[in-house]
Parts: sequence; C-alpha cells; structure tokens
Amino acid sequence: MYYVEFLRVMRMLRLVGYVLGAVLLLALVFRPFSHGSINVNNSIEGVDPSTIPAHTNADGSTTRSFMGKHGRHVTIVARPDKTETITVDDPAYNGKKGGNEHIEFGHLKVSTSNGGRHRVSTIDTDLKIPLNILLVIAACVAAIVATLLGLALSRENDGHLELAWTKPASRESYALASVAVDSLGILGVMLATLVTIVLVLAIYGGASYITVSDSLTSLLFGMLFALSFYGIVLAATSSMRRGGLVLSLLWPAALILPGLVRVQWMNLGTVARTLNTINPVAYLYAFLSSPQTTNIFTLLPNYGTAAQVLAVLLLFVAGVALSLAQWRRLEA
Amino acid sequence: MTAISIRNLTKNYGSFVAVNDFSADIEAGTVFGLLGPNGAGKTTTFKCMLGLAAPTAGSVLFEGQPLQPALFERLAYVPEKSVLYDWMTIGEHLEMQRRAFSRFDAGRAKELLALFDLGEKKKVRSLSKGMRTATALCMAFANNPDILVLDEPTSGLDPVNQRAVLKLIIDASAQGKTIVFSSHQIGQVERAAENIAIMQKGKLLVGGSIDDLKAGWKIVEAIFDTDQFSTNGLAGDSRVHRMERTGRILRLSVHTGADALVDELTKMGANCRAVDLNLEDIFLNAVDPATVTTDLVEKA
Amino acid sequence: MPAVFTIDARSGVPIYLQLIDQVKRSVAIGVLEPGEQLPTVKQLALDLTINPNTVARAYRDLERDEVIETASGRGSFVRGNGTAMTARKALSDVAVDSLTHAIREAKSIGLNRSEVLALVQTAVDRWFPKEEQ
Repeated sequence: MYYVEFLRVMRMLRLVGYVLGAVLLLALVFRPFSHGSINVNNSIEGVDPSTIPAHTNADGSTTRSFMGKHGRHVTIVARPDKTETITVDDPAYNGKKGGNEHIEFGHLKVSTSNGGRHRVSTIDTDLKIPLNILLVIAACVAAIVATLLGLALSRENDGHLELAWTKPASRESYALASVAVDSLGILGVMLATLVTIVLVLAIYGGASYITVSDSLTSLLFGMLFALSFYGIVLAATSSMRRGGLVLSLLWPAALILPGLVRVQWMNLGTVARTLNTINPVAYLYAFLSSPQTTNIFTLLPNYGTAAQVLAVLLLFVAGVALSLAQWRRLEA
Repeated sequence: MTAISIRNLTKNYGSFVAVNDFSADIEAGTVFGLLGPNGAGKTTTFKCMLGLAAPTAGSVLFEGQPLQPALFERLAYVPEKSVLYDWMTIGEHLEMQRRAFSRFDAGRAKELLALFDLGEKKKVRSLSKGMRTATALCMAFANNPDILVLDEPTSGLDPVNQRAVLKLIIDASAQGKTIVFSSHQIGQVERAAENIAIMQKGKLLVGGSIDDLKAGWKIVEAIFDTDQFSTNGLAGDSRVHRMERTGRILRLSVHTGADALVDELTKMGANCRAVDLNLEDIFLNAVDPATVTTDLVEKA
Repeated sequence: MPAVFTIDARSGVPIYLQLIDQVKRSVAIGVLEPGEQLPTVKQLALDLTINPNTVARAYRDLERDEVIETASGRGSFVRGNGTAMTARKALSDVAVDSLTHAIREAKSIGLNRSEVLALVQTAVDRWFPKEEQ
C-alpha cells in the first residue's frame, strides 16, 4: 500500500544523502588547509602531548609534563569533565613589559603573569559540545524534509486518487501506511544528519568533546519537533491538489511568530502568542531557552521540557488525525 | 447473478446534477457499454460506483454487497484521464500493483507490455496519452480481475491498438469476466458489448441488449398515394415515438412492433417498409430524436 | 477451419443474426461440411472481434435449428445426420429471408402483385433455364 510513498521517501533520502555527502566531502577537502584543529593540544610547543605518559591524580584528572622549546616547561592537567589547564612556564622570558594579561577566546581562557625572569601562561580550555544541540540541529534538517514529505496526501490528491483508492485497502490504512513510511524517513534523515555532524567534528578533532547529558529528552523532542512539522503540513494540505503555497508560507510564519509576541501594534502580539500554540518553532525556542525568559504562549503556559515534548507530540498526532478526517471526505 | 447493481444513483455538484436517478443492472459475465455525449455523467457514474465520489442519493451493490476495499482485489478501474505517477517508470507502476494485489500476474504483465510495445524502464512523463492509457490497461488486466471498469479505454490509441484493447475485453469476457466500459466510439461498443445504457445529462435514456434494441428500434417509412392521408389512427399509438410527415411520406420512429405497424399501414394503402437502425442511429435517435429522420432523408 | 465469416457490426441487423445467416450459408454452399468443427466461441469472438456471448447465442440458435451440434468438452460441429436436409433447410432459410426482403422492397417501391410475380418469373427463368423447358 505504501510503495509509492516509499519511492518518494527513497528519492528524498537520496537527495539528503547527496547534500550530507557533499558536506562531508567539503569537510575532508578543507581539512588540510585548516589551522590546527578543534582539539587545542594536538601540538603544544612542537610536542604532541598524547605521546607523553600521563600521571593520574587522586581527583581523577591526569597530568602530563614535558619540556617545550627553549626550555619552556609545559604542564597539562586534563580533568574528567573534559576541561584542561595548560600551563607554560617560560623561565628565560626576562620580560620587559610588565602587567598581566587575561584573554578570553571562545572556550579558551588565556592568562599570562609575569614574575621576574619567568612568564607563566595559563590556558584553561572548556570545550564542550552538547549532544543536545547536535540533536536539535539534526531535527531542524529533518523538519525541513518533513515539510516536503508532509505533502504526501496532497500529492495523491493531485490526480492519483483513482489509483490510491482502488487498492484493496481502506482510505485510512492507505493514508496511515504513508504516514508511517514518511515518519521513518524523517527520523532517518535526522539520524543521517546527526551522523554527518559527528563525522565532521571527528574530522576536525572535536568528536571527543561531545558531551551527553539529558540527551534522551532532546532526542525525543527533536524527533517529535520534525514530525510535528510533518503533521501540520499534512493537515493543511490534505484537501489541496497542490500544497506548494502552504509550504512557502509555513516556514517564514513559523520562524517569525515567536518574535512577533513582543509587538504592541494592534493585537498582533496576542495573535502571535495564540498562533504559537500550534507553532513547533515556538516550542523549539522554549525548549532551548530557560523557562523564565519564554513567554510566547497564552493558551499553553510554559510548563517546561516535558510539556514541550508533549506539545510537539500532540501537534503531530492532531495533524495526522485532521488530515485523515479530510482524506476520508475527499472525492476524486 | 447481478455483478453490479446501480440503484437510483444521483450525484449533485452544488446545483449541477451530474448523475440523475440512474439505475442499471450489470449481469456477471457480460460486457456492458455506457454511452453518452460528453458531460453525460459517465465518468461521475463510475466514480460513484467505485466509492471515489460519494453519491448524493442511491446505492451501488457488487454481487449484492456494498463496496468493500477488499473487492478491489477482484475489481480493476481504468479512468479516462491518466492517473499514473509522472515521475515513476512503467516498471515501478507494475511493482506497485504486484505489492498491492495478490492476484497480480507478472508474466501476464510482461505479455501485455509487449502487446502495446511498452518498455518497463520508461518514465511515465515521457509517454504519450495513448501509451499512458495502454500502461493503465496493462496494470488493470495484469491484476486478473473479475470485474473491469474501463472509462474510454481506447482513447488516444491508434486503430491497431484500439483493436488490441477490444480483443483484450473480448478475451476477458470469454473467460467469464464482467466488463463495464464507456466509449465515444459507438462501433466499438457495438462489437464488444451485449448490453448498453445511453446517458444524457445524467439521466438514463435507453438501456437494454443491443440485439433487442436493434430488433425493436426501427424507422417505419410509409409512402401514400396522396399527401392527404390521415394519421388520426396513430395519434395515441404507444408504439410511435416520433412522427414526421413530408408530402406523401410518413416516417415513424418506433421502439417495438415495427412489423405489425408495417402491416397496418400497408392495409391503409401505403407502400411501407421498416428501416433497420444500427447502434449509432439508435444513440443519435435517443440523444436527439430529430437526428435520425434527418439522416434518413440524406440516405434516401 | 477455412470458413470465413464476415460481420458488419455497424449494420442494423443484430450480430448474432448475421452470424447465424453466415453459418447457414456456409453449410448450404458446402464451405462447411457435415461433421466439420466450428471454431470455439472464444476463438470466433476474437477472430471477428465481437462479444463472446453473442457468438454463444448464435451457436445456441444454430443448435436449436439443428444446423450444428455441440459435444460438451469437444466443441461444436456441423451436424452429420441428414446433412442434405440440414443444408437444404439452411439454404431455404437464407433464401426465404432474401426473397421476403426483395419482395417487400419491390412492394414499397410501388410494384403491384402481378408486376412482382413477373419479376420473380423472369429471375427464375434466368437461373433455371433447362427446367423451364
């Protein structure tokens, strides 16, 4: 029953595969031209620290010590939370310029202190790449694909109902089989995107900084976020022969609505706040920000992460149910 | 046994009545031809029959039962317009059928493709209207259905392939299948069908077996000695559907009892004969009663 | 099966009647010999591109008229018993139809009884010259 939808999903997956493959290829091609890597201590003072035996301390951290160039003394303390402190002691500095410096550069904090002939440079690294963020990015890619696949029933309605409805299956089971295939395809895209991101990070030496914490919720939210887009497009276009217009309005609207809640003019803010109830992007904003800062809903107060997961789940389920109701009433 | 029973089918689109109280019984194992001018409601009738559109009133029974999805294992529909997927190949369409229909016969599908000279690898997008029709027919016949509903199954095809389609219908009929088809080519219906219904503006105008219609529907032409002849005796005659007199000539359109009428008119002193009507004449006469007599004047 | 039937589907005469006529004619003129097998219903329907049930109806009527017989499972055959009678009957059936048609035509044109009889006499004289003498 789902063969046509299966072919559509496979075509979509192939397309996504080309894009992700291209990203991966570009990452590989440009790797030799990139300066160093995300991993700051591939080379310190011309030495690769991983070749130096590590001494494990009582608190679980490890210490590596070695001599760098010009008699500089390097100590690297790596802690279990993936933060590191690298200390470079230059005994022959004999500095003329006084004053200490403190520089913050992204996840690096560099400070130098001059004392007599010595200059001690301390580099604190705090590089963490939360898996949660990667999951959300993958979910956004999947959501784009989901909006395209959400035209499934509209595409059937564009001159193919006679084929779809003269198969030995009820209209409902035909539609649900398509929904199932599409959903699997969307989750497949999410997985493929996640794998691609991790591979790119690995190419640039950053894979080991990925931290996993509370990622199950993010995984669940991400999947349902993408699926909720699918449900909304499905519900909006099932009665249409061509849903392209809906699609071209949906994304701008979804992206703008969370921002419009602050607008005072007319009742626009209130309208936006109400519409955000069915806007997956609003739930994404809410999911990514702290509870206090989000006030973009009226109908649904922000109950926190669980409520956001539930909300996108409901959007998906309601979308599918609404589209089924339309599908049942359609006429060829 | 009645394969398809259409009872008082009515379908309105807003204020437009597409099908108006249409009834027909299609016996199992027969070929049924649905005729009618463009916009007569043939396609809408098919759609309502197959549950693709909801009837405003009336019902359709298949073998005594309301339509169930499972029936489509044994029922194939080929619509008039192409409903194939442009982006898929012919082979993918057949694969779709194979997966959906338990009676799909892959060997038969290959034979049918060869019959119409169609390649599996071809994308539907590249096919002409006729080739799309042929592909849809291959899909339908490969399912080995018991009931075939074909809406204009020869449209867009060249005469050779039109004949091939007629032979497919005849072959299926010889195997005891029930076939309902519509066609603008009355000659094809005349050959392949036993029973017909003629529709106009959604209404059933004429129905029955072609042989019975041909036996009954005649133009009785009587030539009197004078143009002063009286037709009073025919005024209330239920056999006479239409009467036209031109000088000494009287033409009567009858649906039954032509021979008896010829005898009666002969007794009245007229030189009288009954002219046979073919299906096209019958169709035109039904759709527009003025047509046949005009035609006959031209023939004479 | 050498007999070739020609059907005019566009004629006002029902196809099964045309087929019955054609078979009778073939039997009458000896193209179809006694005991000869007729094509199957399906084969003839496909050959002539006409409805199989129409062919079956013609075969049933031919059987009733004792022109052919059907052995179940083996097919339909031109009757063997009293072939001459069958053929003559078949012939006369066809001839009666044609004559009736011709006389009706003559009448509708306006010929009277004696004129028609004279026409018939002329035609008979032309085709049976020796028997006349």
